[in-house]
Amino acid sequence: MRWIYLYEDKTIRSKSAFVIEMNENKESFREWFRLDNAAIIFSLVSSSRIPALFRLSATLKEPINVNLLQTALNRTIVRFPYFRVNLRPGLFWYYLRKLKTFPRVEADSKYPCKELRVRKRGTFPLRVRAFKNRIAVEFHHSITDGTGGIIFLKTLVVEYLKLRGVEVSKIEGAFDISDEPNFEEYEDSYKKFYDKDLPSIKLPPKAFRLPYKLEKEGVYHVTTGIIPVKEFIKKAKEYNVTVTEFLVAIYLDSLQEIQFNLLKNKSKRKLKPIRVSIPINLRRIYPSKTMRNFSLFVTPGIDPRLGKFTFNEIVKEVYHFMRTELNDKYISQSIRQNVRAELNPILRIMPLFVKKLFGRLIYMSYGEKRYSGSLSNLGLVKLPSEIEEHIEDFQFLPGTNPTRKVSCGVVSFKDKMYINFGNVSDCKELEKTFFRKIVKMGIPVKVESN
Amino acid sequence: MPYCSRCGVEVDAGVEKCPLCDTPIQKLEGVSETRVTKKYPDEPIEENPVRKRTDKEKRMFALEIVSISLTLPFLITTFLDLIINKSITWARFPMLAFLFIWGTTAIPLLFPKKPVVLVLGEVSFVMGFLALVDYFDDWRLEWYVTYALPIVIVTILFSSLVVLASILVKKKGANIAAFILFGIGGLTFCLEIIISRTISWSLFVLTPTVVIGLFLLYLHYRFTKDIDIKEKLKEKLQI
Repeated sequence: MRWIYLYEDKTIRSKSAFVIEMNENKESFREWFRLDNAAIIFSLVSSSRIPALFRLSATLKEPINVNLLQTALNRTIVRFPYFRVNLRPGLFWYYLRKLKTFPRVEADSKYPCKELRVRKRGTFPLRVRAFKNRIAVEFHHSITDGTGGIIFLKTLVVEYLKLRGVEVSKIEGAFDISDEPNFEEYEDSYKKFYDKDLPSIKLPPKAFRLPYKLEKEGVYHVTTGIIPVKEFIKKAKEYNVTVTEFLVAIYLDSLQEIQFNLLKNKSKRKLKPIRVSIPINLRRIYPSKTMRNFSLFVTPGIDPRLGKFTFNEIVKEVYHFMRTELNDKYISQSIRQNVRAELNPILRIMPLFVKKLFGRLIYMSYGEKRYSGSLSNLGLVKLPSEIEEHIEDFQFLPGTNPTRKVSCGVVSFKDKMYINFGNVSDCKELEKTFFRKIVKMGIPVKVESN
Repeated sequence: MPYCSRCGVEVDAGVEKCPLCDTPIQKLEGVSETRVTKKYPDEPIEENPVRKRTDKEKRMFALEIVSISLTLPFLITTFLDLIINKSITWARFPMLAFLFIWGTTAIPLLFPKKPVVLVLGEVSFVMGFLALVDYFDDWRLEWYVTYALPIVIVTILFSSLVVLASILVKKKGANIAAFILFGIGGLTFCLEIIISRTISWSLFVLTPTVVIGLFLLYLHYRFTKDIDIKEKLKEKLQI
């Protein structure tokens, strides 16, 4: 029945999109499925230095009961079969194989986002951790992005609270575990919205990077800034920009200040452009229900070689850049760029170990060296009010790597915004500059760290 | 709630230092000590260590694999020859080659940290192999004495000198490249003497290697500051 429905509904789509959808549909019944476009690069580069993990956590009002959490997790993971998998090596690519086991709830660590050995047989690409009142889930990027992750965490929290005896009538924003998993959630949306006839993009030049010394492997400094959302929005409104745009402007301004301080007595020629990568949730632009990766980056930036930018100029720059780039035409072009690389016949016939060798090199030189940092805003997390009253906060720790060193993850819940910096270097200059700038604007900031 | 006097940010009660700038947070007198609410555990969790084979186990395992994978072709060639020719004829060469490969791999696996045993063992294996190949050919030694033996000795001599010099110098860098160049120059010089008993073309190799080598030494001892190559490599490769 589903097939017939599919056929009638999708007649307007192109033939190739239809074929992919048929395959996706099959994939939901199959024991294994292919990685999506973004997952491929993470499956190749993932190592102890580049854990490719991000973490989402929810703090409840009461201490976590681990047994109940395990029960809730066992129930939840069944609703997310595309997360109940194991990364396996094939001859040419890694792929995901479904598991029959359940992930275990683990204890939390001082340093989150430490390497998860995803390639080990039977290892889940996610890690559920409990500490005091907090449930944290660390996701490997080979299975999903922040949007998929937050839905999983919300579902898990709702399930846990239900077991705790909280009455829930209607669930919004999270999945109902009694529903059947939808085959559309398996979809590789990058491939679906791939248009091979678009022209290619020129790569931007290398960007300024923080020069700090790396900490030992596994050390991950967290700095959390808690800010009242209302006051922040008020301030952003003064500049007539959105919250994300305003955050990006502050981020760029901080990076600019750091770069000028580093080069006090040296010539301007040593300066490099500053560019930060901002992940965009493509589900907002394209009609997609996928629970796997479906995000791309836009990269606003400034070029301090032209002179020191004032904050107003940076805000203007970011505003116009974001409004221009967040257009489905430009995004389609980026998708085409990424998917085309995956479909390249020469690359496809290379054995996996060759791909692994080059994957890291390409990731570093083509991807990472062109960005000075990243800021990822998941936006406001919403749940029904009877559930929200049991939850203290939601937090998002971004993944980072030795080239980028510091990344920023932002999420808002109720009346507070949680800005988390994940840092693998020994210097917190960026965090310091960033939060001091916000304090100077008259917005109170509360800072925590690990 | 306490504040950091430098950053202006609010911190949790009981926190001693500002998480951003490490400035000590002033304690308000008269206010009773509140218990610190830690946001993360104090200890990092180590992943369950995967049981790893010890170095010795790994070496013995490698030896086992090498031995077995060489025994198979060894036996196959031997029996083929025996079946076809009713005696060992051409098979003596592949048999010798398999023995040679086994010996040269077994020595470093058995004596990994004994450089003298290693070098002497390998050298004797190479010499024995060459002598036997020469002897098996027509049951007497010909080119072994005139060419093979001196070439092996000269090669060993120069390579050991280069390695020894590279180990002994304190500051490593361009000087190692210079030693290698000197080695190449000296080796070609000696090779020509052994092969054609004259000195002609090898001078074209010797002169530039010596000149460039000296230039590299000059560069190294005049200009390089103390750079930790290991650290530099680590930084570049990010390992």
